[in-house]
Amino acid sequence: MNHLIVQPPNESNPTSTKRVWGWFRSAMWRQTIRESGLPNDAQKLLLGLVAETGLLNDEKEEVAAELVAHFQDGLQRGWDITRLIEEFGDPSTAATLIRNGKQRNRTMKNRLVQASMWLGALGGGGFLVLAILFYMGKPNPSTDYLAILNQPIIEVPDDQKGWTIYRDLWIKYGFSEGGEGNFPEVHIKNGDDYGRLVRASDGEAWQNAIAKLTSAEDLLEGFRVGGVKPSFGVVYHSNPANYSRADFKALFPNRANPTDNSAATENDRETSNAMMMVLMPHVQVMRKAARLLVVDTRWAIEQNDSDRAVRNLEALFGISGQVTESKFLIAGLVGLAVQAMALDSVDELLVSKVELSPAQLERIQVAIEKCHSYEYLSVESERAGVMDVIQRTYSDDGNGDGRLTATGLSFWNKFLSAASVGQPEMDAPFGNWGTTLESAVQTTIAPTSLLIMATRKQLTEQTNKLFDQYEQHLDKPYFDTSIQQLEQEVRELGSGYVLLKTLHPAFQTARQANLRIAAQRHGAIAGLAAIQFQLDHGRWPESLNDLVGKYMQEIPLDPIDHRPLRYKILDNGFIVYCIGADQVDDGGRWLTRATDPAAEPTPATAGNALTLLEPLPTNEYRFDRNPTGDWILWPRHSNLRD
Amino acid sequence: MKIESELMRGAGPAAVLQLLAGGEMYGYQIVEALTKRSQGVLEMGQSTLYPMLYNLEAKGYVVSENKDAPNGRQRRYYRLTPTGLTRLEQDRVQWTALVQGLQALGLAPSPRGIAWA
Repeated sequence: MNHLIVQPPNESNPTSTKRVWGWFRSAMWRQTIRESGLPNDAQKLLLGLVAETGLLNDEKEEVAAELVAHFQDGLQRGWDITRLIEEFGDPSTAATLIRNGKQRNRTMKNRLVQASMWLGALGGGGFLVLAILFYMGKPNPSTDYLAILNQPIIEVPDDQKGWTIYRDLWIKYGFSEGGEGNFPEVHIKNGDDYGRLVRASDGEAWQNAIAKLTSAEDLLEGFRVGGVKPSFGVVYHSNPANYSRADFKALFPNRANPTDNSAATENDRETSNAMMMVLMPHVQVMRKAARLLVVDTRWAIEQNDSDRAVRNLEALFGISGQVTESKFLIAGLVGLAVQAMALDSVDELLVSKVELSPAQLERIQVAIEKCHSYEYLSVESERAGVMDVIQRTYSDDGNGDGRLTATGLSFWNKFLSAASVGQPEMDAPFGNWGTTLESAVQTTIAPTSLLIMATRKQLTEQTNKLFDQYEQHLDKPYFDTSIQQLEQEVRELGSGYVLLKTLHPAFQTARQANLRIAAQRHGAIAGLAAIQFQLDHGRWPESLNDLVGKYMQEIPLDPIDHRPLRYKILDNGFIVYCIGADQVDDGGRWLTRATDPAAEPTPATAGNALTLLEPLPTNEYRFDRNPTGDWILWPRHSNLRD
Repeated sequence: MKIESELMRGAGPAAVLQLLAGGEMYGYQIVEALTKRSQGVLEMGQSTLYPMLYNLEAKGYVVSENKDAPNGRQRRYYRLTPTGLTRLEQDRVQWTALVQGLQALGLAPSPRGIAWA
């Protein structure tokens, strides 16, 4: 009887075949022992011993075969099985020694096999733990950031809200949607570009614009009255369905009702109340309103209607503040853009032939001085938005910590997918789960994100640190590089902070926009004060120091170097300037345009400065064109005088 | 008389190599030969023989091969390698020196020596 020959099918090499066979038949060594014909006691001993070695199956098979042969030889010599077992020794010790010996004797292939098995077991076990943690964890959003944002707005009395006045007019004119199509007459388009706003010198286009504005006088008057209210007053929602019927009708006139609009279907339960999904359709609309007021101010100048022009300016400055009410930086940037339009209009009015009374000049000055940088550059809602995403993405252990969850990752991808509509560069970093969540691959690899993603506590701390530092540095002079360094630090954060890296606002862009507009605003404050001085004294002040006290509280700072703004008397006027992005005081020399570096700067010191200075569009105050020369802040639109 | 395990740890492998110098042998055969030829002095627990053989094989002193025995069963036969032979020669020198040293100390009074082959 042959107990040891294994007979796998159709193999000519028994040894090699047994080995291969052993991969699939882990019980083969047991079969060898059980079919050995040895007495039960010996079989029991060998089964326990071989199992205890913990060797690979083909190694166990070798050991089993050899030990079976050993006992068979002993029996063949006529020894009693009891004595053979006794003389064999302690099976546990034998198992340990055999394992050690066999392992030392192990082939490279078997070493690789065992290493792979360990790695597989460790990897599989580790993945199982990760998968349990990932899929079992649930976010538990506990803070309603939208409610916190809306609370102070709700508390404002209705008669202090611009929205109370705007709403019905928006419904009447369908003002909220439709883009520039509603009032195309106020634009001189440049191809498909926005172009510029129409001027009195534009002939027929100007007449068409006047006709359009005349037909919408009640809308313009609504902006004049509503624009000076301290609050915009619209309550913020992230789901259109949550707006009141009247608000919805005003904000989304092209949609039938709140329940069948596309935004509502995209925002599912997870995203519908998210802070970062908050809707601000009115913000861009108010930029359009500001354009109407700018053109109407030009018309008022043509009509020598100082009262309407000043009311328009007050409304423009008021609107620039109203749109920042959400405390999102993006809204602040729109506010700055509106403020820039308002400042340009102030300039146009003051260099025009329209005579303004001291009271009117003071009203304009008061309107300008109400604008503060910190309102426009607030990132309070961005910070709340990141915190909201964190609480919707991470689990909560009750002590400020937690881990990424499957629900949270799904929310995160849906959020980015919704946020990236029309913005292809904002692809969801984990793929579009909205359509491929069922993907087995994504579902399988997703738990491994726990290995790289920052914990809730780490992310929260890093977020607060980032926003705290930003708020400390946002108003520093141009030469201060803290914000650039801060943004560099964010870029260098590991991939575990992808959420923060994606959501943090463009601090440096915002800061530069603020620097430009702050320079313009400070120039207007100084210019207005100088004009008031001239009315009182019949001459221009010798320096800006002459204006401190009666005409302005202090000399506004040059936002580039935080020194007092520069002032220069010319033959027929004066200029107020800051040193510009090159950070060099060129004595009030006009910028040499980067597009034509060889061009000579226009001398601002000869003749009538008000007519010699070329108009400089606001966007010429950019920081990335590296122009030389100064930023002439006042006056800016002298050639508009016809 | 049996040798204590500490002593056997050094002597056992040398004894097995010495046995295999005479030709290939299988496990039980080695156990029997050790007991018989050393007159029981080098008798070892059978469970320790196989790990010892695996260690010797890991060191390259012996190789093993499954063969059909005359009775039709399969056995694993061990035989000495050239490396094992070199190792055996070194062991002989060392054991001879050890025995001579022990004799000089009076621990091995008889100079009869060990029959190596």
